[in-house]
Amino acid sequence: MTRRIFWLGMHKVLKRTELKQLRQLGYEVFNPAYISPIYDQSADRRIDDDQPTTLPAEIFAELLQHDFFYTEVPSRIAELLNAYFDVVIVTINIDWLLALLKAFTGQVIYRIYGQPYSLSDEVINKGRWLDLVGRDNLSIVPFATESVRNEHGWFLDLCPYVVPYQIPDDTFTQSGTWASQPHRQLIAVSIPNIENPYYNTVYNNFANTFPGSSFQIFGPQRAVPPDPRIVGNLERLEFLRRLASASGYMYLYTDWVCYLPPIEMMELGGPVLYRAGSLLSAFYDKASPGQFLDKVTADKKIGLLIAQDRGFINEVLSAQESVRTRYDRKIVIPIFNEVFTKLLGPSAETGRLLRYENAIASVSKAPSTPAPTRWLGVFLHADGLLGFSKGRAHAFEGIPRVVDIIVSTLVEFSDLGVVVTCTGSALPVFHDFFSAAIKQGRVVLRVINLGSHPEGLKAKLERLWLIEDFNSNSEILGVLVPHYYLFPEALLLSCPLFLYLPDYFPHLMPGTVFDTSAEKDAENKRVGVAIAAKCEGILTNSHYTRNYLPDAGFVPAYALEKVIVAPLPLLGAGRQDTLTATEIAEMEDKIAGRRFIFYPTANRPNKQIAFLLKIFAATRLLHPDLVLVLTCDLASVPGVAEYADQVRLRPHIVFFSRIGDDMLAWLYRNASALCLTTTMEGNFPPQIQEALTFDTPVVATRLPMITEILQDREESLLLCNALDIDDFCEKLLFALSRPEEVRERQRVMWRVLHERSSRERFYSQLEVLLSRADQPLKKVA
Amino acid sequence: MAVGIVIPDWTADTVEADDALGMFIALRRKGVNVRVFTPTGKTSLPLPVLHRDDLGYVFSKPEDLVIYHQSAGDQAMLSYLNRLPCRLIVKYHGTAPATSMLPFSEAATRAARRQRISLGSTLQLPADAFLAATSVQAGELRKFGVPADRISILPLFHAVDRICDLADDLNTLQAVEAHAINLASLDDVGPWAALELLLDIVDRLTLSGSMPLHLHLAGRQVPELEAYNAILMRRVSHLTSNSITFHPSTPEVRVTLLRHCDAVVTAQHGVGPEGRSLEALGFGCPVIAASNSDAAEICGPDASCVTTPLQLAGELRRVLLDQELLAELRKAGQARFTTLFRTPVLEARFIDELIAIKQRSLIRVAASTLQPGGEWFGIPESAKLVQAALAISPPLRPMAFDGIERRRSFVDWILREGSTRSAQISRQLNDPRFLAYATSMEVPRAALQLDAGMRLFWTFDRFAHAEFNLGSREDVLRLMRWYKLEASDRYKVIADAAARCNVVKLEEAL
Repeated sequence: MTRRIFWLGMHKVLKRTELKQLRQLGYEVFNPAYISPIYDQSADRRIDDDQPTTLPAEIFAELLQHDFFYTEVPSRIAELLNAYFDVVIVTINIDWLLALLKAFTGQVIYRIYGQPYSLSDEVINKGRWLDLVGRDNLSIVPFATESVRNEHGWFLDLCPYVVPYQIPDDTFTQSGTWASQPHRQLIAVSIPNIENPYYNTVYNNFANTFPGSSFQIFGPQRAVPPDPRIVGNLERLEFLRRLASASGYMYLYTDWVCYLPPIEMMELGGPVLYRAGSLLSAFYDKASPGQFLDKVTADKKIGLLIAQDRGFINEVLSAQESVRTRYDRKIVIPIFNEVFTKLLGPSAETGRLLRYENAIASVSKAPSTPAPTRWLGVFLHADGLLGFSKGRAHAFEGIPRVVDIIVSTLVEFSDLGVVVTCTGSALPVFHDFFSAAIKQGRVVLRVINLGSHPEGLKAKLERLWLIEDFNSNSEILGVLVPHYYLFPEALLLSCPLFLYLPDYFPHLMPGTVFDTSAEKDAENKRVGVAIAAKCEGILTNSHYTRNYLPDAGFVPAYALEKVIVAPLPLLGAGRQDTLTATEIAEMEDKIAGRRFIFYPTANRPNKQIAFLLKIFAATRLLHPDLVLVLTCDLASVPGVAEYADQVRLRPHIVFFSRIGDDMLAWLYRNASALCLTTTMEGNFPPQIQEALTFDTPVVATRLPMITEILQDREESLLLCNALDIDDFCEKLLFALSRPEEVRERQRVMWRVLHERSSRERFYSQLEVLLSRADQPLKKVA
Repeated sequence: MAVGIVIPDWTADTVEADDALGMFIALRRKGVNVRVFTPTGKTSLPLPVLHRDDLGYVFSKPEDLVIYHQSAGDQAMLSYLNRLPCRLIVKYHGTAPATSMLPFSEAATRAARRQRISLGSTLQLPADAFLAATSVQAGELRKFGVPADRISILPLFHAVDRICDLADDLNTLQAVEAHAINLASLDDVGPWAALELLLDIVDRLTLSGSMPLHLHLAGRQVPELEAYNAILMRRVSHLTSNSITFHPSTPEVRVTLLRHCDAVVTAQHGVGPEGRSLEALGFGCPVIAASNSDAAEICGPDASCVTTPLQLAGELRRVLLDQELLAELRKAGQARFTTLFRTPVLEARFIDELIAIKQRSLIRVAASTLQPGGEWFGIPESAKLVQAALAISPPLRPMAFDGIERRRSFVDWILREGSTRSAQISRQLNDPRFLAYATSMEVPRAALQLDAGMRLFWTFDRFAHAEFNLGSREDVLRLMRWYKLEASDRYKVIADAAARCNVVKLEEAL
C-alpha cells in the first residue's frame, strides 16, 4: 500500500519541484496551506484544495484550514497526523520540525537546503537535542554536503543521504539563451524583500560598497527604497529574460545558504561572480575566476564582464559548469527518486542515534566489538570545559584535553570502557567530543543535571545520586578525578579513586592567591589533600612535580610510589587539521601577513605576560612589523593591561580566545617564535612540545623541568634566564633572523620529547596507575 | 571607442555643467558612445548619468577616452582616474586662490587650500591633454608645470542656444525698467569677483550725479561663503544711493538682464567669468571687463571695453553714456560670437581637437631618443637602469616620462618586462643595492610587514598605488590579496631575492 506523506513546505520552487516529484513517484502527498500571517517572499500562498487525496473530505478540509507554520500542533491535529499519515517530511525551517516532532510519532524526514545559521545550535539552544538524537526514524536530508559543514557531528550522523535540489523547470526552457542575447552593460544581483531586516542589511552593505549604476537589483519587494537600480517584482519569464540580457550576475551573500538566482543565471549560460567564503564558493573545486574577495577584485571582474572580455567569460563559464549541473534536473531527479524511494520504502526504519536511559547516554546500535566488562569513571561534570566552534567540539581547557588523551589511549590500547560524567547542558558537546569512542561502545556519558544553581540542593542531590550509581556498579574499576578540588563529592566514592595532579602552584608560588581568596585556596587544598589521601594512585606528568608533592602536603614521602609519572603525549592530536579554507582565510585576515610571536596560555602571575610585553616592545623597535598573538585576557593579572596601554602595544597584539586544537596548530605553524616567559611551571610546558611538533622556533625560560629533559642537549633550545630581558631579546632576535637554523637545532629536542611522550609509554604508566585498583595500597591516615 | 565625461556636479546652471553638456551633445551628434559620470550618479538633467564607481567597469580599454572636468578638491576622483587604463583629457576650470577667502571664511579658506593642493595632483594625472578655455587659463596651467605642448585652448560650450528662448523674468524686467542705465554683474559671488569695488564705484557714480546708474547682481552665491555674502549685504545696506539690486541666480533672470541691461561688467582678474561673458556676447550685450582676464580674452578688443580697477569708474561713464559706442560693441560682439562661439563652430573645434589629441597619442618615437629626466623614486643608479630599459623598450610616446605617474608606469614595465628581456636590467635588479632599496622602501606604518616585492608593487603598479592607501590593516590586507592575484611573478622573484640577500648580509655580519 502506498504510504501517505504529510509534506510541510510552502516554498514556491519546492512545491513545483520536490512536491511534484514525490507525487510522480506515486505517493499520496498532502501539502498544508501556507496561511501564516508571517510574510515570506518565497511562499506560495495559494491554497491547493484540489490536491490528489484519499483522505476523508472532512479531515482534508480540517487539515487544509490549519496553520502548520510557526505554530505548535494542537492535540486534535496531532491525532489526525498520527492516524492518517505514515511519514512527515518537513522542509527548511527547524521550528516547523520541532513542532512536528512533538506531535508526530512516526517517521520524520527533515529536508534542508542550507540555512544562514547553525541548525544544530538552534536545536541545542531550544533544549531539544535529545528529541532528535534520541528519536527513532528521523533522517535529515541536506541538499549538499557543504551546506551542513558547520553543523555538529551528531547532526551529520542523522544525515544518511545528501540529495541535491533543482532549479525551477521554467528555467530550463531558457537554457543557454544568454549567449545569443545582446547584453546591456549591467550586472544582475538579487536582494528580495528589502523591508526584511536581514535583506535590508544586505542591501545597505551592497549600496555602500557598490554605489555604481551598473547594477540591477532583482527580487520581489513589498516597499521599494528610492534606488533606480531596484527592478522589483517581475513575472518569471521576464525575470529570466532580464537575467539573460545582463552582462553577468554577482552573488552577494556569504551566509551559509545558496539562493537560486546565480544557478538560474548559470543555466541560462551567463557568467556568475561570487564572494569568497560563500556556500556557493564551496561548490567550486578551487578559487575559480568568478570568485571575488573584496570590492577591488569584484570591480575588476565586473569590468571584464561589462567589457564582454571573452577570455574571462569563458573561464568563468567553464569553472561554473560543475556547479550548474548540481541543480540540473537531469542529475537531480534520479538521485531524488532513488533516495526518497529508499527513505519512504517499507524497510526504511532507522534507529535512534543515542540511547538515553537513567541519565546514561550511550550508543544505541550494538557495536561490532563486545561491550567492555570493566569501566573507568572520569569526572568531568563541570561547565565550560568543552564548546562548539564552527560545528566542531573543542576542549578549551587543559583538563578535558588531558582526559581526551587518557580516553583515546585507553580506547586504543586496552579493553576498558570509560564512563565520562558531564552536566546536562554540556551533553551535546560531550557527545560530539567523544563521539568516536561512543560509537565504538567504549565511552558512555553519565549526565548530571546541575541546573542553574550548581551549589543548590537539587544539584547536591544529583551529585549524591551520581556517587550512588558508581558505588553500586560492580563493573566500575575506579574513578579518575582529573582536578584536585572541582569534584569534592569524589570523597564519597567507595570504589577505587585516582587523582590527576599535574601541578600545585600554591606550593610553588607561596603568597600568591590563585582562587578568589587565600581562604578559598586553603579550602581547595583541603579537598585535594583528602582526595589524594583517599586515592589509590596519583597521576602526574613529570618527576619534578612528583618530587615536590610530599612537601606540598599531598602525599607523605613514604607513599611517593603511589605517584605515577606519565609524560603527556601531544595533546589534541587528531583534532589539529580540521580547519577549512574559509577558517584559514579568516585566521590569515586577522594576522594580515605580519610576523608574530606567540604564547598560548592563560594570564596567570607565573606566566609573566607583562614581561612578555616588555620583550615584545623592545623587539618591535627592530622589527616594527611584528605582532604578538595571545590567547589570554590581559586584565586577569593587575598591571598587565595597564602596561600594554602605557607603551601603546594594544594595536600590535592580536587576541584569539577559546581556540580549538586546529586553530592552535595553525598559529604554531605560522608563528615566528614561541616566546615562553613563564617562571614557574608545575610540569613540562606543553607549549614547548606543541611548538616542536609544529616546527615553531622556541625561546623559553630555562626551567628545571626543561633542563631535566634536555640534560646535555641544552643548546638545542634557545633558553633564557628568567626575566632577563636582554637574554630574551637577543635570543628572540636570533630566532627571527635565523629561523631555519633554530628549527634545525631544536629537532634534536623534538626527537627526545617524542620518544619520552609516546602514547605507548603513556598507556604503560596508566596501566601501572590503574593496576593499583586491584592491589590497593595501605590507606594512609 | 567610448568617451566618458566626468563632472563633479551635472546640474543645468553652472558654467562647467554647460560645458560638459555641450561636449556630450557634440559627441552624440557624431554618433560616439558617450556617457557622463558624477560622484553621486545623479543629475537634474533629463539624461542618463552613471556613478563614478562605474568608470572602472565601463572604461577598461586603452583606446577609450575619459574627459575629466577638473573639480578642485576631489581626491577620491583622482584615485578613480589614476586607475583608469584608458586615455584621459583634463578640462581645466581653475581654482580660486585660498588667500582671497581668508577674511571671510575659515572653512572656505581650508577648502580652497585643499583645492590648490589637489590641483597639483590633478595636473600630475597622466593626461594626454589639458584643455583650457582661454590663454589666461593656459598660462596658469603652464605655471603649474604642465608642458605647453599638452595644453590646448578650446572655448567653453555655453547655454546660449538653450536659454535664448526663455521668457523674461517679470520681476527682473521691472527692476531694469525702473532705471535709466542698467549694468549687470553675473559673476559668482565671492571675493574673487571684486564686487566691493564695483559697489563703491556704482555708488559714487550715482551719488555724484554724473550718471543715473543701477547695478543688478545675479551671480550664483556660494554656500560656503555665507560670511562674505553677509558682509556684502551689509555694505549694500550702508550705501546711500540705492543703486544696487540683488537677483536670484536663474537662467530666466540672466536672460532678462542680458536682453535689457546696457552692459555686463566683470571686475574679476585672471581665470573666471568666461562662461557668462560668452553668454553676454551671444545675447549681444556689451561687456566691460578687467584687463588680463578670461572675459577680456573671450570678448576680444572689438566687443568689449577692457579696463583696470583704477580706470573702471571712468570707463563705465565713458561707455555707458555713449550710445554709439554701445551699439558698436553690440554689433562686434554678435559678429565675434557668430564667428567663434556658435555651437556648431565650438562642436567642430572640439571634435577636431579630440582627433588631434588622438593622433598625437598615436605618435611613437624610438625609446632611445628620449631624455629620461626627472626624479626616479630614489632607485639606485636609476639613470643606468632607465637607459638599459630604453635600449630594449618598444617605441614610446614622446611624453613617456612627463609626470610622476608616467615614470611610475615605466618602472613598472622595467620590473615586469624589462627584467625578462635584458640581462643588464636583471643584474641590476638583483644587485644588493637595489634589493636593499626595495626592502626598505617607504610605506605607511600599517604596512611595515610588506616584503620587498609588495613594496615595489605598491609603489610602481599604477592601479595598486591609486587603489590602496595602506592607512589601515584592512587596506594592507586588501593590497596583499591583490598582490597575490595580480602582481607579476617578477615582483615575487625580486621579493625572494631580497629575502635571500638579507640572510646573506646577516650571515656576513655575524
